[in-house]
Amino acid sequence: MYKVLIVEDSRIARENVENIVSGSEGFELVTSIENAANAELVMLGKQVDLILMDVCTSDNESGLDAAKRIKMKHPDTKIIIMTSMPEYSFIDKAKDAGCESFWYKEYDSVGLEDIMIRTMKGESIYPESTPVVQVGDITSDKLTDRELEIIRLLIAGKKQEEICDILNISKNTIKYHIKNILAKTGYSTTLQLVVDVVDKKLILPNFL
Amino acid sequence: MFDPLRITSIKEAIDNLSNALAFSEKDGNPVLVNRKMDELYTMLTGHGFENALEVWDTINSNAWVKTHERMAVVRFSDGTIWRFVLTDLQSEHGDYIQIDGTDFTEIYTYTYKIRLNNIKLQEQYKRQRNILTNIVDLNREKEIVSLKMNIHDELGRCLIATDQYLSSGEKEDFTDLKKQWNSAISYLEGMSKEEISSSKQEILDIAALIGCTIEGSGDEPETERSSKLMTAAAREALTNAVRHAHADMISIVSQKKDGYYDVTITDNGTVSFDINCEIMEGEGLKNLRNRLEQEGGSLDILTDETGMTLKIRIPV
Repeated sequence: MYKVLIVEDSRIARENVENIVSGSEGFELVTSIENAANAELVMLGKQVDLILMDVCTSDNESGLDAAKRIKMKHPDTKIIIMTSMPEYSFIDKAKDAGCESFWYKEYDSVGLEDIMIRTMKGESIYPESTPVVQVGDITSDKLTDRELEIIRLLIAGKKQEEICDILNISKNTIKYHIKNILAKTGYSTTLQLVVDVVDKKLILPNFL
Repeated sequence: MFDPLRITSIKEAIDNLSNALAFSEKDGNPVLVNRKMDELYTMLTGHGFENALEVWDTINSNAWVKTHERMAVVRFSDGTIWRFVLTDLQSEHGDYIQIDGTDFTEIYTYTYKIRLNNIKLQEQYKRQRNILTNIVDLNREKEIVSLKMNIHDELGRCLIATDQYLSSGEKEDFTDLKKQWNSAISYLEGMSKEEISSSKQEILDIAALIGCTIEGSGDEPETERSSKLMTAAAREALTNAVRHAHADMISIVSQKKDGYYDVTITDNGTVSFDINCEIMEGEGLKNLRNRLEQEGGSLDILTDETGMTLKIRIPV
């Protein structure tokens, strides 16, 4: 029996995942918690083979940060990141943290049980891409990584000069990118752009 | 001797300027006043330009905006806005005063528009901040709605299947249908329960799960911020007590005093410390210290032969 820890702060979503775990052969629920920072605490006293980890957990604790810490201390414990946020950087962050698999709660055609079974068999299952959302006149997959990076820094409240320093590019290049982004999306100001991107959860400011 | 032709040409030239311009001697006697200046002054006073010093006094007393004593902005009855600047001129022929007026109507119109736009931007900015703060909660609500819809669909399927079962008249196997109803009902039961869990309760539950009891006494934090800090402190203390001291009980005593909660956390662990030995702070304690200090609190770690005590100060 694989011992499963669920980290999910929405009670109804948690009960849904609990039902999936208890209905899956070979899996046993250790407990469910709401705050990702408490996961390590559970592991002090309980054996955990698999963690189903939400990204945005209670008290604004990031499941991705917690997963990274857990993977350093417990490399054998497998982690599946679960989220309903189309935030584009989550997949990369989950891979960086060493998480085995990734499940989009609402968008994935693959069921959680299937991912759990295959993950425990040693597979690593990641969606091919982030769910596509509409940003102004275009879909989010039409924005390049560099453009998304710049939007992320704008959302973080960085000035153009600061963005130049962080990305090590000239002010003209930044201006060129911003002009391109606005032209593509059809927005007249970066503020409108930023509001829409956050609104669509393509970039989440609290989990930058 | 001035060349009269040249004087007329100069007058004509400055009359054609869009600016209002006047030159006078130091005592205010006009030397050269262009048409625009005369028109504006007439609009202001009902009579023509006579003495530059008087003119400047009149401009000043009608000033709409005045940033310093040699500059004034006047709004005229025709709706135009002019900025006047007084300058002393020195030349080989003597000292003169120059009053120069520039039409600022357009600039002020744009400034007004910018001000309006700024107000709009502020509103957008507020909306953005609001979204930034609430985005996770909004998404949670969306998840809940989506799950409720699933439950609604699930119940619908149960009802249709039951209807078919009853109307078929044949006694088919009821097991699958029963399973379907049980699952739908268990979801429904979950939905009607109140959300009672809290950060504090979660720590207490986990402590019990891993075989450790937390005994708390004294004043409980009342604000969200102080409550979060208290939970973070309890989490760290519990981690240390179980991981390093093999404790099965920790005690948290909190006292509200002078704008702070003074919190003392001890455990019944087996690790004892040499009084003279300095404790090495792990990453967890370091993070807790940083977090407390950022919020205006503090952390002191005391060690003795009975073990480790955390003295924590959390702002109310």
